[in-house]
Amino acid sequence: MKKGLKWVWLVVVLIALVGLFLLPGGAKETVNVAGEFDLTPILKLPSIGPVDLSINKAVIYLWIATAVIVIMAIVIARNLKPVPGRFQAAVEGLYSLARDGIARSVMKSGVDTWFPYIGAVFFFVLINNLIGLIPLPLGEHHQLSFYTATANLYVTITLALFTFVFTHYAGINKYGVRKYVGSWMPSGAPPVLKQFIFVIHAVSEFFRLVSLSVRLFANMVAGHAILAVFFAMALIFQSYLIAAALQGASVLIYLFEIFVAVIQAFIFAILSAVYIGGALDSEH
Amino acid sequence: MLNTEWGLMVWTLITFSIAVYVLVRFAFRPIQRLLDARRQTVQESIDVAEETRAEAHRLLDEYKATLAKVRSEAEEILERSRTTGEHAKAEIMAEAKAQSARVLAEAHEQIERDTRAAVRELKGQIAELTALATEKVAAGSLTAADQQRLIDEALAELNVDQLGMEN
Amino acid sequence: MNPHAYAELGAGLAMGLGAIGPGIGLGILIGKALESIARQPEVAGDIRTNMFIGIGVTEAVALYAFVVALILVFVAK
Repeated sequence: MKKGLKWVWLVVVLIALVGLFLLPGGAKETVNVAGEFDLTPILKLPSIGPVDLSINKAVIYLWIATAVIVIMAIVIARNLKPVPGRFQAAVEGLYSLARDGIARSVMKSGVDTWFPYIGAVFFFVLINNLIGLIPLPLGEHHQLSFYTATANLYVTITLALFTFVFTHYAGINKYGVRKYVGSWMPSGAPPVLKQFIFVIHAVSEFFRLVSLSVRLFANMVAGHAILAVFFAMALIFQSYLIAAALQGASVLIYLFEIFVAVIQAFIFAILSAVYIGGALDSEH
Repeated sequence: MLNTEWGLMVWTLITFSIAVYVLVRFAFRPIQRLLDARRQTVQESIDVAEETRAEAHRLLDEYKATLAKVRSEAEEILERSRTTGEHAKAEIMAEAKAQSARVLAEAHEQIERDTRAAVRELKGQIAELTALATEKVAAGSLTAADQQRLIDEALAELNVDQLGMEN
Repeated sequence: MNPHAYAELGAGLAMGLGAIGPGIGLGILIGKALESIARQPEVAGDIRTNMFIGIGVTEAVALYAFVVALILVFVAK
């Protein structure tokens, strides 16, 4: 019985594969994968100097993510009980992941001061990344498509600038300008070497900003580009057989992208915590 | 893809600021407060439990000590009462023995006295009766000396002394 | 060959070559992290956190190559 069933399945799959192979493909189409990341204004708004406040799909994704965060936060605030239910236990688990897993695990001091920022950046990036994996009808011709606000370099640079500014604000606030900048140089070194190391440190501080923003941006772009390429390849190969195989593969990539979305939010937040914690404990 | 998007940066700034404000105001602070309150409650209940346990231990020790004391006291009392009882028993026995001996002795004495009195009376009556009988049997033939001799003989035959001693 | 073909060739080479180093690095990094976790399971949490930081930093190198490739394809036309 069981063995017979297995054979039936095999035959069905074989017939399906042959059928898919024999089916004629659709007309040849070209897909502009990079076009998925172009931002065309949906609602024109006046621009102030170089700042064009037009609503494009990145802005819509940002607002959706913010709306999700606001609704979730208010729902959570309304339903907090001393004895947690299932939902609240999950929320508290996420909260302690952000607080103990991210902020407390890498910061020696200042957890209470800086956790609100680190936790908020974690959840903001996380929600943005995850919203980006939901297909929304915001494509070129209002077709369903993937996009995420964090797949835009200027969104991630703005977030990284927050971390950059807060890092140096934290250091200066704690030690004063002179002492904080002085801590970038080794104390017992000859002056030339001191200046050299100071320059290197300044450059590395700048590159932290770049790497923090580029990491998130490139991960999101790469993930969405691979998904788009897999969908596009189905059109390019003009074969239902290959299309079926590619859709199976794209499901796996989609699952991997969920993992990447969480990990990138985690890394963004934990590196922010590392930088701020480093500035707070920068006394040599 | 890499054109500078100042507008998007401004939008990011705005949305992120809103997100930070809302998250801190409506999520982080209440959750932290709740967690702190829960930690405090748990700490308090642990403290209370610890206290209760210590109290229970103390009470248990106290009860054990009291119990041990009471037991030893009871033992002592029992011991004391036993010795007292034994003493009393011995005393009572001794007294009873003495009393019984005394009573016996008194009884003996009484009996002897009574016996003696009875014998004496009997002797007198016998003598009188013998004299009377003898007088009747041999009126006037006997001298006073003979009369006395007959009485003595009769008395010896009766052996009243022995009769009295048999009781 | 038109000039843009060189840019696309360069982009492919940049991505491919740029992925070699981080690939090896990530392999070593995660392998060592797993070794450490196997040796000391009681500090697995700390090791995992630091492993993710390391992954983030190492992976950034490949992503620089990716960004360079993007610039070559879309900007340096």
